[in-house]
Amino acid sequence: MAGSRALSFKIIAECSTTKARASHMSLPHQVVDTPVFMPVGTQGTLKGLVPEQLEEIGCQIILGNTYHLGNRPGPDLLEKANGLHSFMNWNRALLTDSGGFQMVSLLKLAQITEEGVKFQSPHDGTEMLLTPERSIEIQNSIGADIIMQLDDVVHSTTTGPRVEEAMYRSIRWLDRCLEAHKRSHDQNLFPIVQGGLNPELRKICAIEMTKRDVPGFAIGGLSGGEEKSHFWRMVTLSTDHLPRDKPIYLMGVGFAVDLVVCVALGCDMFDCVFPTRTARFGSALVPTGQLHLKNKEFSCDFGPIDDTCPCSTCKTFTRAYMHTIVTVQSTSCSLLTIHNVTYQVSTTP
Amino acid sequence: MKLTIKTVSGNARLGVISGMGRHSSQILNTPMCLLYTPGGCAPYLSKDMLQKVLNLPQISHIPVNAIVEHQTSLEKFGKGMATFSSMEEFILYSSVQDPSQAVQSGYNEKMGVAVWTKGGKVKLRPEDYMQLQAAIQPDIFQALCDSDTDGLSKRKRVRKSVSRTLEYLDKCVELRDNLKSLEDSCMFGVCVGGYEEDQRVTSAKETSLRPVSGFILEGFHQMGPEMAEFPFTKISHLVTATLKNVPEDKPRMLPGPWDPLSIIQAVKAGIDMFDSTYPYVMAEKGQAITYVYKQEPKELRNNKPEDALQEQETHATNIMDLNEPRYHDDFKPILESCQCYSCLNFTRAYINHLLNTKELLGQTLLMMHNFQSYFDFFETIRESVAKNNLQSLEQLLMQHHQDNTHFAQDHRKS
Repeated sequence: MAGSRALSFKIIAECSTTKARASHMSLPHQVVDTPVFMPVGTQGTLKGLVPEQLEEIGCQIILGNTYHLGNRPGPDLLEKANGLHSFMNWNRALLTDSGGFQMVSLLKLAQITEEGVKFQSPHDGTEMLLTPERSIEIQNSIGADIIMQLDDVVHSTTTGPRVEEAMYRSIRWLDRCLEAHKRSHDQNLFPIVQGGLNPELRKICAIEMTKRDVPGFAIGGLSGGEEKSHFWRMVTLSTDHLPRDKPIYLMGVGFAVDLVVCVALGCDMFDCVFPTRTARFGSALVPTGQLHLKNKEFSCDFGPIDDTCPCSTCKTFTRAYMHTIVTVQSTSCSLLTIHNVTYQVSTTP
Repeated sequence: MKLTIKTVSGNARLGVISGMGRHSSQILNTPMCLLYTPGGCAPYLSKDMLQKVLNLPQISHIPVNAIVEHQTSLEKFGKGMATFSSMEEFILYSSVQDPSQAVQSGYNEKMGVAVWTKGGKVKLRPEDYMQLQAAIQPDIFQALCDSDTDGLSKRKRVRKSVSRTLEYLDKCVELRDNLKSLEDSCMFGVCVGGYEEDQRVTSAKETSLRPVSGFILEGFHQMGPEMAEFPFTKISHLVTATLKNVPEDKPRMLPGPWDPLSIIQAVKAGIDMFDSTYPYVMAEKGQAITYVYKQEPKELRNNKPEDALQEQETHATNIMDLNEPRYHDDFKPILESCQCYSCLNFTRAYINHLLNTKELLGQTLLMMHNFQSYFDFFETIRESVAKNNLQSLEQLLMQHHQDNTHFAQDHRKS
């Protein structure tokens, strides 16, 4: 890593027919091989796994949610702890989102103004405001290698003037975030390209954001239930208008098939709660879809979850045994998380 | 199975168990505890995490209630529960009830015993129970018993539990002869009798006459998390009465979530085996075992005198409740002197955060610490029995109980 940049992106191989590429992304805590799937460790932990286990699975970068971490344990405590890395004893790369998306999706009374996102504190109901500046401040305290701008995100199925308003506001908020960012020497701030499913708006947004001096880009506002054909088009349009020599993070994607397609469309980084969330409910991810291990059909199935999977769960336990413990014994959750994350992380290369 | 007593210290015994059927090359040192593995796995811990705990007990303890619903799978599998759960390297012990859960009282009948599964109550007659054990293929198992009595049980109920338990035992003995897969398994008889001393004696004497390999003492309590605060002194006279009437050369087990002080007192009375539900029950509550029992404090990692002072203060409480807000910004490990995985890698503040946000990792880290503490403690107990200084170990722990008033009261009464 040369100079004062906190990120360097080196493309080591490119596909001749698609926009796919394999790269090394050097971050303050870790060199990450892309394309990469980033598991989500929402509250500073990944469903019962310790950092050592994540390393063994091959995770190089994980996500933390600013909304949750900003509440508990809070930015002050994280500062005292010398950042989230130290607090959770994770020595590889971290990425935090801005908190905006969670706010809008989790809080009933979140209201977007030019100033920021107005909401009622989930603890005592007092009115609070998450501004671009405050989001960056919290993310500076958390200390992740990559941080995200606060964006005005609308649901992908929204139409009308709201989409345009959100897109332009996101650009204005990007500039406020850049202004407020106090740690550009060791934290990389990514803008988030918005514009809904409107090609014109997307294009404007991508071109505008490219004008700013940023180390990478994210594509937001997709993977929210829109039709697949629209989804691909917006992804490829976005990557067409973003610089090729910087990493591109497609937020909230996704399922294995989506991953493969979006890599071909030029994306380098992905995240999704699905693998860890579904582990909680006793479901294992396999090439053919999902196995709901709670179902009786597995009670006498003495093979592993997936015989091509290298994870410790597949090497040690049968489907039949897993059937007896899922949703019953606490251990099953970590065992399935190990499998699902391994599956997701190894799909990406 | 063979128990050889090497040293005796009062009624406490230092022993060696050998000749365990399929595991004949293994020897077990008593007093010892079992490894609590409901459903075949240690709570919260995958095998790779479990391997990071030192001094792991050699016996894996599986209560049958988690397996009842899967008997058919197990039978089809055919190779027994140890292999099914990938725990072949362990000696397998299966019990009727799960001591970490309070038994719902009043559901046992003459015909059979109620166990509680995820799907609800299941009645097990001796023939059902033995078929289940035949599928499990344990190395040691508990005979079917009616231990549903406690301090409030009427004498009539207590007498019933004694006679039923003996009837079940006789049936189990009879059935066992026809079950090939239990050929190499050892069966432990159960001594019950509530709080009626004469019934305790009867149960012990009668059970001793049957072909059992060891004795389990139950019927004092409904078990479960509440038992973690139940002092052994309340039942010591009953345990003594029982043990006077069972042979010396067979192991004695006292199941339940017993705290370390109670363990010492039970060992002094002559108990050889315990389970490890206490560490689990404490982890579930968000509490760490912080008993100090080393005569000289171990070298603290940072060697700072202030830390030593802090450590002494915390030790005074024996139990650290990591839910408490005061740990919010406490960046020390649970115990500076502890070498467990959690203490070497994580802080009180982090565990506090995990518990606060109801994240699985909170209990996982506490489970590792608590297991380590408990297993290390049993090492110390064995050393103390060998050196004949159980008394001073007990006194050391009692000193630190001063802060815990109800404990102190009960223990002072004894």
